Amino acid sequence: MSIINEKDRQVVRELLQNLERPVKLLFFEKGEACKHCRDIDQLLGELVQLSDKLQLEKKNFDSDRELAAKLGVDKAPVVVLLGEGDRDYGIRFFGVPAGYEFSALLDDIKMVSAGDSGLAPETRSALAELTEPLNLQVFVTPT
Amino acid sequence: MAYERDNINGDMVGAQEFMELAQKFEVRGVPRTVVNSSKFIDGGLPERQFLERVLELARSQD
Repeated sequence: MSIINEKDRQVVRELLQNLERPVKLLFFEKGEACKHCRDIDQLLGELVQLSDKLQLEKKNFDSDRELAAKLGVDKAPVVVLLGEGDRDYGIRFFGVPAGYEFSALLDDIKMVSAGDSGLAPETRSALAELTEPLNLQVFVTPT
Repeated sequence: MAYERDNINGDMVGAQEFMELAQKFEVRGVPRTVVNSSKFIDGGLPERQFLERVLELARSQD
């Protein structure tokens, strides 16, 4: 049985129809003990079928440690969004990207594909002045 | 913000899947944004206010 129902598939397909550049969903799963990995895997598999600009690549957090470390991924399951040429923008979804998070994932896919954060010019210039590393962890629950 | 700058990372973290981490950062309501693993912003704020809080917290010393 599919996770994304037919109606939502249609909505998502339309949302993603104007994607410009390819986006890769790099999914680090975590082996047998991972409660949600199978669901996430299926969800992502269904999602990438809705646009030919989307690609899913699967890795294992334990056996692909080097890549995980390189990307600063310290826990799993996680979806890392990569732009053209595997460009890493520092955007990760830890856990199940369902409910509201699924919308956030779609928004971020569109952003990476379009090459525009959509932020106000003042926000961009203020952020440009910040030179130190900044880590934002947004804790969420599915609603 | 993460998209804009290479020095900024944006992690969405499922509080139910990562309960220990949520407990460590005393997440009781969502969204809770943890800034540099030490400071917090609760709730969803408009872009400008969120930016101001983030910059304030990022620049403040522990």
